[in-house]
Amino acid sequence: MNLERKNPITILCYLFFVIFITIFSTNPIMLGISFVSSILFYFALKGWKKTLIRLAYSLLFVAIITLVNPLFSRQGMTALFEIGSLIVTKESILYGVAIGVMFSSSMIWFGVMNILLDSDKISYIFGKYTPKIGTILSVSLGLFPKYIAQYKKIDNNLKALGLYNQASLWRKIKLKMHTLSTLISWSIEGALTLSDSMSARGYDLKHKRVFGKYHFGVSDIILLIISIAVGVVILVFMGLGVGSYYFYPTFKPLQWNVDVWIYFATFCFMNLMLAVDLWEMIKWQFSISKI
Amino acid sequence: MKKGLFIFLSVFLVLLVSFGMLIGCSESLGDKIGEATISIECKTILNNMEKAEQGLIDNNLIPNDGIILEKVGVSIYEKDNVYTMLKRVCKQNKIHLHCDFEPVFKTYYIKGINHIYEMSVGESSGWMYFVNNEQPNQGASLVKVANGDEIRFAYTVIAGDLQ
Repeated sequence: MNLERKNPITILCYLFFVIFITIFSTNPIMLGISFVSSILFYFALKGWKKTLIRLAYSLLFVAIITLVNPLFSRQGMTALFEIGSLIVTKESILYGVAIGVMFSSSMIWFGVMNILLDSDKISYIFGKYTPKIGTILSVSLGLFPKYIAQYKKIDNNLKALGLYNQASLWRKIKLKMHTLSTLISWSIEGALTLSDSMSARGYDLKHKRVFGKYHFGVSDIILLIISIAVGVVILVFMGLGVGSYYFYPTFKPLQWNVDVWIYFATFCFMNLMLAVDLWEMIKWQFSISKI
Repeated sequence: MKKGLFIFLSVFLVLLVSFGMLIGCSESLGDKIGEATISIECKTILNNMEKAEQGLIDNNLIPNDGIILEKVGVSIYEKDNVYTMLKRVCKQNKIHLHCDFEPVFKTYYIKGINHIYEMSVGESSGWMYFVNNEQPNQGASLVKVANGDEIRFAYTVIAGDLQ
C-alpha cells in the first residue's frame, strides 16, 4: 500500500474533491481541517525541511492578505480603528485570515498533487481520451525543472569564467539577461529536437496508446467509490447550507448541531482517509537517518 | 536574505503609500447657502425578505418599516454635492456607509448603507437616489444640490420597482 503506486485516476479524483471543497467552503473549521491535513500530507511526502519552508511561505501569504484585505473591503460591524476615511474592522481582518488560509491550503494540496501525479501519470490519465492535451501537459510540465536546471548550469558557467567578479550591479543584470537569452536559444533548439524525436517515436500516430503500468486493483476501486461517495455527501451538505458561514456584516455564531458535526466529521474522514499510507510514510520520514 | 528584506520593504512601502492615499485631505466646504432634506429607505426589501442574505436577517439590519433614516433637514455648503451631504448625515446619525471612488466615472459609488450592500438581496439589487423624485443620470458626487431639494436614497431589488 503505497500512495505513489496507486492508480493515478483514483488519486486525481480524490484530490479534485478535496481541493474543490476547500475552495468553496467559508467555514473556518472546514478551512482549518483542510489546512492541517494538507500540511500533514505534505510532510509525509516531503519531510521536515520542505514542509517548514512551505509553512513559512503560506504564513507570509496569510499575513499579506490579512494586511491588504481591510484596505479594499470596509464591510463589517465592529470597527477597530479609523485612519482618515479608512475604517479597519475586525470582520475584514479575520476574513483576510480565512481567505489566506483557504488559498494557502489549496496551494499545498496542489503541491501534493504535483508530487503524486508526475508527468508520466498525467499523460497516462489524459492519454486515453485526449492524447493531445495529455502530451502537451506532460511535456510542458516536464520543461519547467529542465529549464531551471539549465539556467543554473549556464549561470554557473559564467561564474566559473569569472565574469561576476567585481562586476557592478548593471553588469550583473546584463549578465543575467545574457544567461536568459542563452537559455531561450537553447530551449528553441531543444524544442525542435524534441518534436523531431517525438514524431520519430510515433507520438503523432492515430491509434497511439500510452504506457502505464498502473493496475486498477480492488483497493483502487474501493478508494474511488469511497472518495466519490464522501465527496458527493459533502457537496450535498454544502448545497443544503449545512455549516454555511458568513463574515459580513458580522460573524455568524458557529453552530454545533448534529448535522454540522456529521459534516465536519465527513470532511475529516475524507482528508485522512489515506491515513494508513500516511502513517507509514510519516514513520519513514522519522526513520530517515540524520547523518 | 537580502531578497526577503527587499520584498518585505517593498510590501511595507506599498501599504504605506496606499494608507497615505486613503487618508486624503479634508477640505473646507465654504459658506452655507441653503437647506435640503435627506431620507434613506429600503421598503422594497420588505416584500422580498426571502431573497435577503441570512446575515442581514440574523442581525436585524432591515428595519421593520423599511425606513433607515426619516426625512431630516441638512444645511448645504458651497462645495457640497449629494455624496458629501449623505456622508455628513450618516456620520451625524451614526449610520454605516461604504462608498468607493470610481476613477473611470470620476464619482463615488455607494456600495452599502447600514450594512445593506449591493447584491445583498438578489443580483440586481443596489442603492439608488432621487433628487426631487427625479433620477439624475450621474454619480452622487457630481450632482449639486439647490436650496429646498429633496434627496431620497432608496434600495432597489428589481430594476424599476422604485418610483
